Amino acid sequence: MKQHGKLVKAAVAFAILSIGACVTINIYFPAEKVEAVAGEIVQEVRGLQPEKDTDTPQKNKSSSLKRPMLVASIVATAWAAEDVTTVSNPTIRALKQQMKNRYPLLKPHFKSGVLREGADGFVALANAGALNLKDKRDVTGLVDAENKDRRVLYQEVAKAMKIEPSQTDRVATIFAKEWQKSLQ
Amino acid sequence: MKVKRFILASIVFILASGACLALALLYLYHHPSTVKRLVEDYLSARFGVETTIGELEYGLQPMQVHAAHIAVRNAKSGDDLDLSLLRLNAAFKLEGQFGRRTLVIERMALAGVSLTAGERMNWADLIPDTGPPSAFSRLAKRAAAALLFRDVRIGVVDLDDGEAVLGKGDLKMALRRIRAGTTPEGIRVDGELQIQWPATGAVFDAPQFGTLLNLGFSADQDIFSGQLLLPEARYTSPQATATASQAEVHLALSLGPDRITLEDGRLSCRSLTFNREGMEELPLHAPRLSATGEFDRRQGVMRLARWQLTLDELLDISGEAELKLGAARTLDIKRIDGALFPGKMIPTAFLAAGCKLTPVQVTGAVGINGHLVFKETERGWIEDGDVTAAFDQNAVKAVLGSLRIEGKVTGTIRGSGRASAPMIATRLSGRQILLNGSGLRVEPFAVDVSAEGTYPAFSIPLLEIRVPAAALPVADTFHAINDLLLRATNGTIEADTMSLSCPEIILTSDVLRNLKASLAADLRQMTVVVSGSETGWAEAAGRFQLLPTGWHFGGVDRLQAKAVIRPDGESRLSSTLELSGLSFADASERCAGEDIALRAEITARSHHPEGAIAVVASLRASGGEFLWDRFYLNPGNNPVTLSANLHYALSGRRLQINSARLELEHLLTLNVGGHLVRKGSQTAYDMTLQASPAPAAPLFATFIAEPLRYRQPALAAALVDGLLSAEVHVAAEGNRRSLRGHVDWQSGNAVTADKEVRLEGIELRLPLWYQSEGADRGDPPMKGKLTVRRVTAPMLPAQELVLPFDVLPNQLNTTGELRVRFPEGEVRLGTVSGRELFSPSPQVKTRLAVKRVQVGGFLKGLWSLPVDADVNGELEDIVFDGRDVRSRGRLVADIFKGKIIVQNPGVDAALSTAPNLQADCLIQDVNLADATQNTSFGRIQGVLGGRLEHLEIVDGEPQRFTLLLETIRTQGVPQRINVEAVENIARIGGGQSPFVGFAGNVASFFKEFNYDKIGIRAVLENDVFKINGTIKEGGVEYLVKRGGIPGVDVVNSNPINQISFKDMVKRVRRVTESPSGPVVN
Repeated sequence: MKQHGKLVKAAVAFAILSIGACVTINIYFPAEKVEAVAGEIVQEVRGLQPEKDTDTPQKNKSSSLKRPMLVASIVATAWAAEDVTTVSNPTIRALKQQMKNRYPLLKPHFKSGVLREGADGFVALANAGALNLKDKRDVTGLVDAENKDRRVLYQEVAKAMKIEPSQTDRVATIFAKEWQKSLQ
Repeated sequence: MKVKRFILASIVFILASGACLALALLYLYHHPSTVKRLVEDYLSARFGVETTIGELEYGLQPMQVHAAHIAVRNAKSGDDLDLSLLRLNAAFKLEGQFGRRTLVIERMALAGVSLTAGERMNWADLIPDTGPPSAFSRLAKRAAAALLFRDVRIGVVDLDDGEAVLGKGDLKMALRRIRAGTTPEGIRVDGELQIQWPATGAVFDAPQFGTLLNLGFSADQDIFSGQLLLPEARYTSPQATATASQAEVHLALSLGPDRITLEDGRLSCRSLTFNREGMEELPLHAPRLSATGEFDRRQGVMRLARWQLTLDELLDISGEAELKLGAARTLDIKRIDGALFPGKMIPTAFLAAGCKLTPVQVTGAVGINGHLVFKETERGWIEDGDVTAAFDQNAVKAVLGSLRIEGKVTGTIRGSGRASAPMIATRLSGRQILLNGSGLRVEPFAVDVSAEGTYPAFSIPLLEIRVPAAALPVADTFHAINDLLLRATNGTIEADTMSLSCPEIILTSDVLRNLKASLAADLRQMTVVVSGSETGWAEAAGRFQLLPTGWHFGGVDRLQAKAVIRPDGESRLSSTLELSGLSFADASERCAGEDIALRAEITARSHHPEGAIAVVASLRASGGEFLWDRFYLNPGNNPVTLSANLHYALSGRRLQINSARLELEHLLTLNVGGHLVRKGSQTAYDMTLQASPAPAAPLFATFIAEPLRYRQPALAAALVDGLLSAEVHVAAEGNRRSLRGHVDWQSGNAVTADKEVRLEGIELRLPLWYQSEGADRGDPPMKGKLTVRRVTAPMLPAQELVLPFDVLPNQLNTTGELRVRFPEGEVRLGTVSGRELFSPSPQVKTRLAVKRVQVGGFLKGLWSLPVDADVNGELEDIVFDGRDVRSRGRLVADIFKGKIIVQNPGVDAALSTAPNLQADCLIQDVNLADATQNTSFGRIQGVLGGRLEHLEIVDGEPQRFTLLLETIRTQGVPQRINVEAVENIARIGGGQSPFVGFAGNVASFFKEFNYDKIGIRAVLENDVFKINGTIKEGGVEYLVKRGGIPGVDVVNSNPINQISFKDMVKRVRRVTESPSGPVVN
C-alpha cells in the first residue's frame, strides 16, 4: 500500500509540474498578408504588373456647410478603400527600383539556368559552368547586389508590417515562392 | 712316345725344381743373413726405398720372426723418408688345407717406430708400378699360393710409442705417442695428431685420436676399413678457429692393384664451432659428409659416385664428384642436388658476418642443383661452375629498421662461371607481399625482379612492383591509391663501384599516371629525373587532400624534374612544370581560373652540412582568366609573373626571402623581402612589401570599378587617374602582429560620372599602421597628408583642400580643421579621429561647425521664391561606427524671421544603397506671412511653431515623421488666412473646397478670413500619411479655428484621416505647382 501511495504522489507531482511547465508562446505572423505583399512587390519588380497609381482620391460626398460660417470639412479619402496589403516606404521603393533596374540583367541568366531562385528568398548560382569567368564575375556581382537589396527589403517589409525581426527569414521564405512563381 | 717322354721330362723337371726349392729354403732357413739381404733387396726393389735390417731371426717351430733396427730410407730422395723400427717380433702360423692355406700373423709387436717424410717425399713412388702381371708372375704367385699360403690374416699387433712426422709442401703432420694394437674389431691406433701449415700459421691439433683399422689382404685385392675418432680437434689460423668435438671418420676401402674403391666414407662430428675475431661464435651441429667412389691409382683420379653433405639443417646436398690428383689437381663436383635451408642458413651467414639480428628471413627449402669445378693452377685454385638455387613459395620476411616485408618468393638464382667473377642470373617473383611499418597501408602486392650479370656488373632487365591498393597518410588521414605499378627496366648495378642505374622507370596508378623516371646512384650521389605529361596530378592532389577541400583542378600538365642528391655535399633540384588549359575552382566557385597557361621553374640547392636550401623559383601565367570573388584578371592581357630567390635554413626553420617579385603586367609590380620563421606551431615573419608606382586608372578599374560595378555603381563610374604606390612592412611574432607603411597617390584626379564633382591634383600620403593589442605603441605618430589642388562640386565654389593627419597604431587623426567654403559661409570639419580602423567595427569621430551658410540656394527646388536662410550650429560627437552615423548637437536655420532647428541628425546604414537620414526638428516663430508670401499655396499671416520628430529621409523622400504645427498668437501679428490657403489646406487634408455653392457665394465677398488658430498634426509611417487637427472643441476636430468675422473653420470629420504619401505628394505638387494658385471649384 505504501508503495502504491508513493506512486500516486509522484504522478500528481508530475502532473502539476507538467501543467506549470507548459508555456505557450504566440507569435503573430501575418502569413497571408506577407504573401500578398510579396506577390505585389515581386510582380512590380519583375514588371508583371503596372505600378499602382493611387493619385485619384474619391470625391468626398459628405462635405457640407454646416453653419453660416464657412466650414471646410475633411473626410475620409479613397485611402480607406485601397489595398490594405500595400506596404511601402522610400526604402522599399528605392530597393524595388534598383531591383527592377537590375532584373533585365538577371533575366537572361534565369532563362539560361545559370541562376535560380532559392527557397530562402535569395538568388543562387545554379549552373555557372557555361559562363566564362568574366561573365561569372558579372553574374556574381549582380547576385550579390540583388541579394543584398533583398536582405534589406525583407527587413523593411517585416519592419513595416510590425513583424519581429527574428521572423524575417519567414518573410524571405514567402517571398521565395513569389520569386519562383514569377519565373514560371 | 713323344708324349710319354714329355711327361717324364716334366716330372723330372718338377721334382728337380722342387728339390732345388727345398734346398733353397733349407739353405735360407739356416742362413738368416741371406734372408735379411733378400728382404732388404726385395723391399728396395719393390718400393724404391733403401732398407736395412739390423737383426733378423726366425724360426719355423713355432713360426716366428724377430727383427731389430730396421731402417727404411727413400732411395730416390735421400733423407725425405726416414722410417726406423727398433724392434719387431712376430709369430705366425698356417691354417687350412694345403693349397688353401692362410698365413695368420698371430701376434706382432712393434716398438720404437719413427717415421719422417720429407718435403720431396712422393708417396706415390712407394706404390709399386707393377703393370700387368706376366705369365710367370701369375704362375709363381699361384704356385706360392698353392705351396705357401693364399691369404694373410693379421692377429694381434701391438705398437707402442710410435712417432711419425710427415712434411709435404706447406704441410707438416706429426703423429706422436702412437700406440697400436689389434682388437677383435680390427687394428686400433691411438695417438696425438698435429698438422701445421707454417706459411699461413694454421694448425690442426687433435690431442687424441683413435683409429680402428681392418685390413684384409688377399691375392685378388686388399680390403681396408677404418674408423678415425677425434674426441676433440681444433683448427686454428690467424683468421679463425674451428673446433670439432666427437669427430668421426669412417672409411671402407678395397685396395685393388689399379684402384682403391671407397666402399663407404663418412665424416661426421657432434658439433663444429667456428670463431673469428669480431664475429659471434658460430656453432654447427652434427655436420655429416659421406661418399662412395673409387680412386684410380693409375690416373690418380678419385671418382665419387655419390657424396652427401649435411650441415645442421643448413643444407643437405648430394651429388657426384671427381678429384684429380697430380700436378694439376682438380675437384670436379659434377652434380649437386639438394636443398638449402635458408631459415637457418641466412641467420648463420649473418652471424658469421657479425650480425646477431637477421634482417632477412627465408623459410622452407630452396632447391639447389648444378656443378662446381675447382682447379689448381699456378695462381692458386680457380673455381668454376653453374649452380642454381630454386625458390618455390618460400616465405620471406625482411626487417629494415621499422619496415617489415613479408611474402612468398618463387624463382631461381643462378650462379655460373668463376667464383671470382660469377655470372649471376636471377628471376624472382614475390607474391602476397605485405609491407608493414612504412606508415603506408598496402594491400598484399606482387614483385617481379630479374637480374643478371657477371660480377661486378649486373643488369636488371625488369623490376616490377604491382600494388592493387594502398593508402598514403597525408595530414593524419589515409588516402587510397589503387592499381599502382612501378616498372623499372634496363637497370644496371656496378658492384665494385656500388653504383645503380635505372634509366627507365614507369609509375602509374589510378590517380597518378604517365610518370617516367630514371635513377642513377653511386656512393657519391644519386640522380633522379622525373618527367611526365597528363599525370593526373590534380586528381591525386585532391585525393590526398593537398588541396583545400572542395577545390578542383584540371588541365594538361607537363613535368620535368631532376634531382642530384649528394649525401655529403651539395644537392640540386631543377624542375619545370607546365600547365596548359589550367582550370580550377573552389567549392563555391568564387575563386576560379580557366584556360590558364602556367609555367613554373624551380631550382633548389642544398648543402648537407649546412642544412640549408637555396631556391630560385619563377612562375608565369599567361592566357586564360582568373577570378577571385569579384576580382577578375585576364593573364592574357595582364600576364602574371612571380619570381623569388629564397633561402631556407632547416635548423632554424627560417625562410629568408632574399627577393620576390610579383608582377601583374600593365597593372602592378610588387617586391617582397624579409623572412619567415616557424616557431612551434606558429610562424613569425618580418617582411617588406613594396609596390612600384603604377597608373591608378587600370588599378581602379580592375580592383574597384569592375568588382563594385553593381554594388556601388556611382563609385564604379568614377574616373580616376594618377600614380599609386605603396610600401608596407608587416611583422608577426607570437600574438603580436604589426603592419606599417604608406600608400601614395600622386598627381591624381577623381571625377564622378556626371562630372559634377571633381577632385583635381590629388596628392595623398596615407600612412598605414596596424598593431595587435599586444604590440608596442610607443612610437611617434606617422605623418600623412591629403592635398587636393582644386575641388569642384555643385553649388560650392572651387576650392583647395588640405588635410594633414597623424597615424598611430590602428588610428588616424586629422591634425587640423577642414574648411569647406560655401558661396556664403563655411563648414568646418573638426579633427577626425578614426580608431580600431582594422577591426570589424571601426569608429570614426569628428565634429562639425556650420558658420553662416546661406542655404537659400539649396531650397530653390522646394520653395518657389528665393529664401533667405542662414544656417549656424555645431554638431558634437559625430560618430561613425562602420554602419551608422550619430551626432549630438544642432543646426539652426534662421528663416522667415523664425528658426528651424535640426537636432542630433544621423544616418542609418550610411554605406548602403539606401542610407536613412534621421533628425528631429524644432520650428520656432516662423512668420507665415513671409513664408507664404507670393506662393501659390495662398497667404497666411501669423506665427508658426511646432516640431518635426523622428524624421527619416531615404532616397530623397521622407520615410517617417511626426509633424506638429500650430500657430502662436503673437502680439502685433494678425492671424489671417486667405481663400486659397483655406482651400489648399482643405485639399491637402483630403477634403474639397469649402467654397462651393452657397458657401462659395458668401466667400466671394471676402478674400481673407480671421482665424484663431491653425493646428495640424501629421504622421507619416509606412507610406501612410495621416493628418489631423490639433484643436478639439465640442467633439469637433479643427485644423483651422475661426477667429472672428469673417472667419473660417476647417474641420476634420474623419478621425482616421489617412492617405498614401504618394497621393499626398501629388496633392501638394498640384497645389504648389499651380501657376495660378489653387483652384477653387
